[in-house]
Amino acid sequence: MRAGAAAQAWSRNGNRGRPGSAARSGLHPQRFGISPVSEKKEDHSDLIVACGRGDKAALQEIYRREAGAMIGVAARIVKRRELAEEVVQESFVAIWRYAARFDPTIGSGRAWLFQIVRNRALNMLRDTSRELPTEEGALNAAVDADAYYENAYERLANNSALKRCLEELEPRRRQGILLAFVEGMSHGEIAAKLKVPLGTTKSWLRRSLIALRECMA
Amino acid sequence: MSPHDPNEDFLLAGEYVLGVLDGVERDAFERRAAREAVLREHIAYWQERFADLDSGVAPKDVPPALWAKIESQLGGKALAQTGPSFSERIWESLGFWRGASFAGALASLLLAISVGLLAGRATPQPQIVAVMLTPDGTPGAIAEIHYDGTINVVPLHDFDVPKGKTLQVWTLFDKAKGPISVGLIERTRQALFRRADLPTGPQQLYEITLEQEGGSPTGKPTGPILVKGFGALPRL
Repeated sequence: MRAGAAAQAWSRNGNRGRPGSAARSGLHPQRFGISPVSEKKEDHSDLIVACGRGDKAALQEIYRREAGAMIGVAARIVKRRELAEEVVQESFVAIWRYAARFDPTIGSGRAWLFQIVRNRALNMLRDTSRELPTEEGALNAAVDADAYYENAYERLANNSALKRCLEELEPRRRQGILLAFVEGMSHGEIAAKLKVPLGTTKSWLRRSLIALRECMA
Repeated sequence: MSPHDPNEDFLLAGEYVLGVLDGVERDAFERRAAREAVLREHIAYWQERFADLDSGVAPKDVPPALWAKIESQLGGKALAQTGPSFSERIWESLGFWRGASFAGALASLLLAISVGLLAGRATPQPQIVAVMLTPDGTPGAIAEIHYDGTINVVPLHDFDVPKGKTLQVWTLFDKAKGPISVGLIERTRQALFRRADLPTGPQQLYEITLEQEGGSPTGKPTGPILVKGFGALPRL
């Protein structure tokens, strides 16, 4: 268990926004300031750029550092361990292929990597042609499925701006955001889970995004 | 509301990062984001905002066999090297390029882009375009490399392909690994390859060699280089 290391990583990320840069015009996001050197290591941007040049060792280093966390993120969405591993396998092939498109001046490398993982996991989840066999493992996995989004929320560091701002949301709206991001639920699934109409779900999520933007400014 | 309302785009980026766009919406948004830097900034903004939820995940054990599976899908297994071949030396040599004037290369890049656009195909705009020049510096073929891993190779003149020979397309993205085969072209005509396993960087070299039927027996170029050129990002 590397929970300690993970906690460090997120408390650092939680402080990423420059404190002095709160003022923003309109809805346009403020670009982040240059990260302190200590964060650079966690960011992986250099490794992704190296992958873009065809450096397989860089890809393997990303794998060494993040494959475990990536399986964790994918498992929250696809719910089953072996599917999560398949997602991560596909993700690394995609990282290799798309690395040359990564622009380190726009966003963090880590966020870029995990977006790929999440997109692959969502593809697998919504791939209706794929029959998910019901095996013992699936049943076991289903037992703690309910806890994923709550867990992710509870594990947020106390100094995380995201946690503070999620706390300010009305509980069901917060749940909607977490079910979408953590468990990969669609509008329809969230509507069913929260027992609200589809249209309401959509507008809740949008209004929650606006509230989060204002809160995290 | 206009379809590209900036506030709408900002929220759309939020929904993209949340993962609630359906497949069609997501693909459309990604295609736009590939062209519009402001959308990529919106995406990065939301990714940073939600990053803590990923950072806090408890890492799972990684099965030992996973890396090998990944590596086998990256394409291009390392071949035993017995010194550089003739064509590898040519590949490295700058002499080939001195024959091609820079202005000529630029003109042919523009030509290639207009070929792609005027062709009016339903396929999306290419991610990378490579103009392959003959040794005398005239454009001999273009390669359009698409986001989905398809590589469209269009010869721009008739290559002399004797009986028992074939055209083979190569790309070089890692000098240590040498040129990797993209595929074969039986005769001088457009060919589409699906090579999602290959990296697609700009400044990646593409070339076509003349090889024996069935392709180079060594897995590396053995025949004469007919055309070659670097990939570049089209400014669309």
